[in-house]
Amino acid sequence: MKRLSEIIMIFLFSAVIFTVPVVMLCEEKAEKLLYENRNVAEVLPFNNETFGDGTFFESAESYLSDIFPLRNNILALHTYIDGTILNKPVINDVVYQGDDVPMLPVVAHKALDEEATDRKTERMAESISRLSDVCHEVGSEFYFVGIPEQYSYFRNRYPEYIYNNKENLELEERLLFDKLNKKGVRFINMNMVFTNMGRSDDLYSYTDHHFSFEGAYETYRTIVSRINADLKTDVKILDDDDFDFKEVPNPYLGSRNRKLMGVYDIPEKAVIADFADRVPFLRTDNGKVMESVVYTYPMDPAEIIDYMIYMGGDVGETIFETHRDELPDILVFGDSFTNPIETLIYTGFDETRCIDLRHYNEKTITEYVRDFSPDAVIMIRDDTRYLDFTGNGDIK
Amino acid sequence: MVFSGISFLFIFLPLLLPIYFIFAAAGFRRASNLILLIFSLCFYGYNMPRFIYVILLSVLINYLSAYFASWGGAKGKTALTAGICLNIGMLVYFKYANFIADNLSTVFGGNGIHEIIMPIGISFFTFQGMSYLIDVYKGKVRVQKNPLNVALYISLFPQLIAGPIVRYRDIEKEILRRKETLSGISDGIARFCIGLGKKVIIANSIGKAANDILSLDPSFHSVSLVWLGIIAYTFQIYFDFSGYSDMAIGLGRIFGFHFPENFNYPYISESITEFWRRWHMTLSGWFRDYVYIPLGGNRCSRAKHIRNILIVWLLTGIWHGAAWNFVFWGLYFAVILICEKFIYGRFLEGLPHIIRHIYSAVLIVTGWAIFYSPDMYFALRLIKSMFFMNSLPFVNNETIYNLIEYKAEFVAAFVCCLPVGRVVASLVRENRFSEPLFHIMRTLFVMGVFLLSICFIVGSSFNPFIYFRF
Repeated sequence: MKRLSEIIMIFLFSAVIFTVPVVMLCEEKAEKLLYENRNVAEVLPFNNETFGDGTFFESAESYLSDIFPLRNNILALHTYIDGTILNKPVINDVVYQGDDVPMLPVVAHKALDEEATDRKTERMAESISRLSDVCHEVGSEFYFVGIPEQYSYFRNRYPEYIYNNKENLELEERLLFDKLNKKGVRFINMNMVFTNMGRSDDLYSYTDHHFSFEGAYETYRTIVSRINADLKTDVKILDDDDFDFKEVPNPYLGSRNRKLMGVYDIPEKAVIADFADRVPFLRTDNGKVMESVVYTYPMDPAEIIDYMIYMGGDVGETIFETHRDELPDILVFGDSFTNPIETLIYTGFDETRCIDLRHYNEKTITEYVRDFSPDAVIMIRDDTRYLDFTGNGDIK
Repeated sequence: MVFSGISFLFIFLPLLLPIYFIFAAAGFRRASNLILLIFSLCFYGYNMPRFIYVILLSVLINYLSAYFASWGGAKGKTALTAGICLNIGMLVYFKYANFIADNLSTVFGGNGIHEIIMPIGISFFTFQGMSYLIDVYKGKVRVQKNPLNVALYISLFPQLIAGPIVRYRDIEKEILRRKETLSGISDGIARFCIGLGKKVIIANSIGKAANDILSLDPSFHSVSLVWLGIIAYTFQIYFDFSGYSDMAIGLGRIFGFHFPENFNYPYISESITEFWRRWHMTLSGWFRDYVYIPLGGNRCSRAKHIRNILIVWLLTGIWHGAAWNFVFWGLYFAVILICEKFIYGRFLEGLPHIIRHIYSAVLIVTGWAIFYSPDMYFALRLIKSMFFMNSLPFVNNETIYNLIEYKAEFVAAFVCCLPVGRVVASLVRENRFSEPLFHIMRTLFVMGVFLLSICFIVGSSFNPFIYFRF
């Protein structure tokens, strides 16, 4: 029996170590890792430099890990072990998954430093104020719109023992809007708006770091109402008579659930505006005329979709032209929070331009405003990025 | 390359094993050794190919100096001295030059030197080389005239970068006359898989807890949290290092070598003296045989005995790293060992077991706090926090979170620190389990650990090896 078990041990070990490389060699290689939302790691070219400093082998190790047979299943098993077998509140080190609460991220601990926060918010407020001045110079009205990120919106849903960065979020929000107010910058704090609306769970996604389409709609409505009030315009605000909120039947993979390999089946669907009569428009992305659609999703209802359903994802520059000269023009810039808002806001304007400075680098935002001279400029930031001076926070 | 890497498990081993065993089975020992040597150099060069010359230089130094040292007499002594100086010189240059230059520039001013990158495993293979040289000079082993065999001894990949520190006398005969057997291969696989599991399932998981806690801003610390972090690190370093040693010993068995044991359940110790008999035994043995005993060991006056202990532990500390905290870490244990030997050792022996375990555990954990710290300032802050000297709360939310989040890891690590395997083996010996059942269960367990380890390797990016930096 001992001998037999020895043979079995050697056979099984050999079977694993010899089968895996054969499968890795023969299997068709995917280019993108769906759940990890990234491309498969690339092996660096083999040369003296990459060989000598070991980076070639390092990149090969990452590549091998990415093309490992049954990688998705293994990661799903790892997630299952963490969440279900070990019953960890935080799964895969990234997502808090409690009973009947949204999927929330683990937030890096940040010591409260009022002085540093004050300094940074002053710098950000000053940048925003300078942009606001440029807008006024060209006859535009400027609005800074602050939106809570999903974990910020649900910050009180974390159990007490899990850090939620509440003190920093509150301090940054208070200081930034105080300073904007003192500098005479027009702003909309959606956190306050949502609070006044009763902070419904429906306004935010359970499985993604963005708001839900309902949250985006409320933001759109608030912005346009404010423009109408301040500019004495009569931009049409879409409501129930114009469209229905329609659930897309495809399985929806939010960014949080993606990190849990979709193991946890939370029945959240993407929602879009289903218009009876949509305002016709011409869409141009980065100078290229596109199909006139704002929602992109596959016809096969079994295919997984994600937040890219809105506008097809992040684009450097998108221009909507509705050819109605009597209406004002608008410029919206910001991160992906702008995407579902863009699908609605263009309907009320002649020309709507949307910029994402993470992907657009032809002009600075002030140059863009001077060249375009819209009636209104909307800067949208989520509250985890109030002190982020990169991307759409890089105001030059 | 690390044993817990995909390239090692699924490229290196599948390439090496069939080639090696074809030659070994045909009885071509020199050829199979040459293959092992080539693969060992590839293994070493995988991460930093430019440092292969360092190991080849070490081989050359030790081969030539041992060759001449074997002549004995004045010439032999000169060769021994030259060999030791060159070995230590190489170690000092690569491992300690930055530290020495930084300290000199702090005292005397200046800009220090360009950073010298340390080749991995240099402390291990330098000590192995020196043990060969000294043993040849002392006539304990015969000089090896074939440089390829010296190269194989020094660079043999299983123990190359993190030990155990194998002495030439341990494997002298096996280099040319060893037998790869079915039960040796099977035992080797089992030992390797268990070591892999200790490393990737336990050490990496509990290491994440240590990392999460100890890298937190101090404003989030509490007394219990710092203890939790250091205890997590205490488990991590044990499972990391002993797991690696198990893998090394297991791989050695697959190729017919019998490497010495390196750990013997150190955390069940009832004193620090006992702890150091159970922890990193090959390093302790090396210092005992090549430093402590030549200095006179304990067969001398009390003052000299204390001096010898201090020297050995100062060197042990410095061996672990070029930083002041390692110096203090070594001296910390020297002081405790001296106290146990000369002051309260007898008193300690009279205490109940549980008190002795607590005594050892507290001192071991405190020692790891010094060891973990990047500098003495950090170490002092940790120790002050652990012993209520930083006006921190006793418990906070972070403690509760980490206890809940890592409860399974802490329980698993605690249980696996105990000699559970030994208990099971003794039950089998006492016929409590039937032998066939034991073999089936063992095979299933080992393969389960192996597959789960692969799952953890692919599923986690946290895969450090603490002892690589030594």
